[in-house]
Amino acid sequence: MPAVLRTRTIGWALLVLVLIFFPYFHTWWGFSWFLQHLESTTGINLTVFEMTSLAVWVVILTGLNLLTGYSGQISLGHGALVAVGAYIAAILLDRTATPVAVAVLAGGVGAGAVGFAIGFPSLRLTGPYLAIATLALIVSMPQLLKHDDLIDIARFTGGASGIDLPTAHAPGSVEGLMDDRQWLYYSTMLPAVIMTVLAWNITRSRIGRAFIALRDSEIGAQQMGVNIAFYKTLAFGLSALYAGVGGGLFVYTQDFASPESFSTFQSITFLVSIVIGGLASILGSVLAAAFFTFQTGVIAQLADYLPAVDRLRWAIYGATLIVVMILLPAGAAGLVQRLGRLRPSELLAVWQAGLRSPISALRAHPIFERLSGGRGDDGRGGGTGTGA
Amino acid sequence: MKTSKSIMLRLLLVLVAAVAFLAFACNDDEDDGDGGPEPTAGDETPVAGGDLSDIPEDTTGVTDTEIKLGTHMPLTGIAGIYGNAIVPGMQAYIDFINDTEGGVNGRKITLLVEDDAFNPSQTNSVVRKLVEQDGVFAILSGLGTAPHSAVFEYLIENKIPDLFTATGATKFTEPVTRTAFGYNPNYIEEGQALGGYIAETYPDGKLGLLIQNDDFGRDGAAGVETGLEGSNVEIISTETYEAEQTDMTSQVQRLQNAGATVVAAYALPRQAGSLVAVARQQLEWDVPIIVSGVVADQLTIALMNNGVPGTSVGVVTAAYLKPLETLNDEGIEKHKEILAQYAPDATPSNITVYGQSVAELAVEVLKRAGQDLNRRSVIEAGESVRDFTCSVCLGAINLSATDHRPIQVFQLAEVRTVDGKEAFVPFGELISYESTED
Repeated sequence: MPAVLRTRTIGWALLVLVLIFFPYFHTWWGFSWFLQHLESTTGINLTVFEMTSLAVWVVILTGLNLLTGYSGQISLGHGALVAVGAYIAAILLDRTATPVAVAVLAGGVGAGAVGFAIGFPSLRLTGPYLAIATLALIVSMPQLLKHDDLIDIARFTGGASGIDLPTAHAPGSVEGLMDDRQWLYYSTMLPAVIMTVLAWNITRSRIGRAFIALRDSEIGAQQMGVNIAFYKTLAFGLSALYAGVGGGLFVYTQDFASPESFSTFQSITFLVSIVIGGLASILGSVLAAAFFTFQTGVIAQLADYLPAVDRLRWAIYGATLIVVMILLPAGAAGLVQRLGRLRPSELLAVWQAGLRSPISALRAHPIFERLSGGRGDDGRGGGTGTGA
Repeated sequence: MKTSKSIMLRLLLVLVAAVAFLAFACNDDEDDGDGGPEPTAGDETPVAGGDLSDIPEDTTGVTDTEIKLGTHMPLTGIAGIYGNAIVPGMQAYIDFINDTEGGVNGRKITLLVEDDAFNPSQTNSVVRKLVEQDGVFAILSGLGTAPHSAVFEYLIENKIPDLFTATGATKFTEPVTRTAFGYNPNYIEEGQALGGYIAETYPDGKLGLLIQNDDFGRDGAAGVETGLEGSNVEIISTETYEAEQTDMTSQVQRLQNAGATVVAAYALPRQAGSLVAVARQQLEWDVPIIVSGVVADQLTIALMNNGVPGTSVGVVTAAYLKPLETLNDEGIEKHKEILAQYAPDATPSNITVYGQSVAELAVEVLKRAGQDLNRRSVIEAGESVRDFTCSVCLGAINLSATDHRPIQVFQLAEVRTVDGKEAFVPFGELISYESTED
């Protein structure tokens, strides 16, 4: 079987094509029918703006995954770092004539510096203690943003009313080629792709290996010559850099930042999302961002079938989290990767088996055991193609 | 250490490269972009009193048989109680008009409701969906200062009528944007009136303030302070709380220890409830309590009573709509009827009354716009509203090209026992906001 025909390769090629052409062909006849159908049945509303938001969450969640998934440090208050980046960018855009790209990067660097600084006390805190400390960050964030007594922070941040920015416009040079929405999509998607590729490279470099060693065993890592203090703070700094850039892109796309934009619940949802998407995986971060972006629509849609389910959002998160932890320890990314390793014919077999009698057929199928990470899957891995 | 250093160096290089690349990639566009947004924001906000010619006569969302309106409301999350009462109030009245009058000028009104959970970024998504996918004619009663801020500029730029925003924030109506109308009176004005009442009723009082630590609390406190000017009332202590905190025991205790003889609160239902319950029940402190009109509803009364009927009696507030318990009032009776018929699941409350009042004003404006309904004519119609008193309003609504705030009068209301049940009952004269300013 030539490499071109592997599901994985086909998947990547499709993804790249979709990302590049999405803002144009989402209005094409067949595709727009598909999108409308998707929206009315699943609640997933694939518009250019939603895809732009998705790009923002990809950056932020990739950063969180570097910290939590790779280096094993749990942050419940990542929204605070996003807020730092967002406010730096918003203030620059609001009060000075800074170009958007510079403002976004300034947000990233500013948040990175804050993250690096937070990294130092985190050296002494591990596990739940670190989680609590980072939770304190996000809980105190709104108060700090609104503070106007000792230091007049609210003068810069606009206090509770936040900062309003004018909506982003497509520059004159691309007039006729794309409208404002399409421009916003490309100018957000491009940095998101760059940041994602960068993260992919980082995780496959010495830094990434050091993070993983650190996560699996601090003592072991130290024995191997990994500088624990350096890499722990580096993880925080890097992750905060991503959060900051994401925050900058967030205000650029939303043209608004207020303390309400960065709630404690949002930060917890970040963590829930990356666990569902897949820890220690770049693909996992992307899937996490998809979950984060589309879950409100999906849960609202669910309410059509199961009444009041949209009032149980947090219970659903919890249940999903438990199901994912049991069935898919590597998250949705693990599932996708397993499927990606199969050849298209095998994938079809899984699909057909699933269609015939969804649960029993899947259960009986050896691939199910493989997918669910059941024991002994390694030994049987080779023969699954004929199993259907 | 050598490894760490070289990694740092590499990271720095990557970063510099990224900065250079991005700056280069985006620089030429941002130059135009920068020149673009700022002046346009000024240009596109027509000078008050000028003509409306730059608002297109756009009929998106209007057909011969239908007018499609959209709203963003919190239906889930902490602010869900508001959306879940305002929506039935509005929807029931709209259904009532569609049924009994065949809609407005032969067009039935459809209201599309989107839940934003009071989260500004969600508001951005749902409002774009309403405008770009559902093609609504106008946004009606978008709720919340922060959520609505997120879409305010977007609506202005796309010249979508932004009608009767459910917030008291002045930033949406001052300076006047021709396409945007506010609704709630702002907290500074309300605070002034409450301050005036305190100065008059407790001339030598020592006032303790309990305020939420945000614009709502601060605006209210500033208003009260202005209202007290020229009187002997002294603000003896100001206690604040954060929105997530609901137990006010320590704040109330500090107010009592400071020697307050009258307490005013800019607090939300739970905190206002806790204030009254703690003062009356725990501390047995019979201090006069004045609260913001934001909490003038049954829910807060129940929270104030905290299981002991009568606890809330005597609490004073400012109301700008008829409280649900107004006795023998035609408008209120009709509201209960409409709600029972068209939204039987909803419990009538002051919030459903609010919903109906907004819907009534919207219907009035659509009627005034006439057969030739478009985005320009609806703004013109809105600005032409004079002396319109909705069935549940206390006073008349006046709008003009320079005044986009509908509510201008209110009345003080006090918790009294009506038919064995506590309720806010209006008393005294109607007070005009304008007149309290000087």
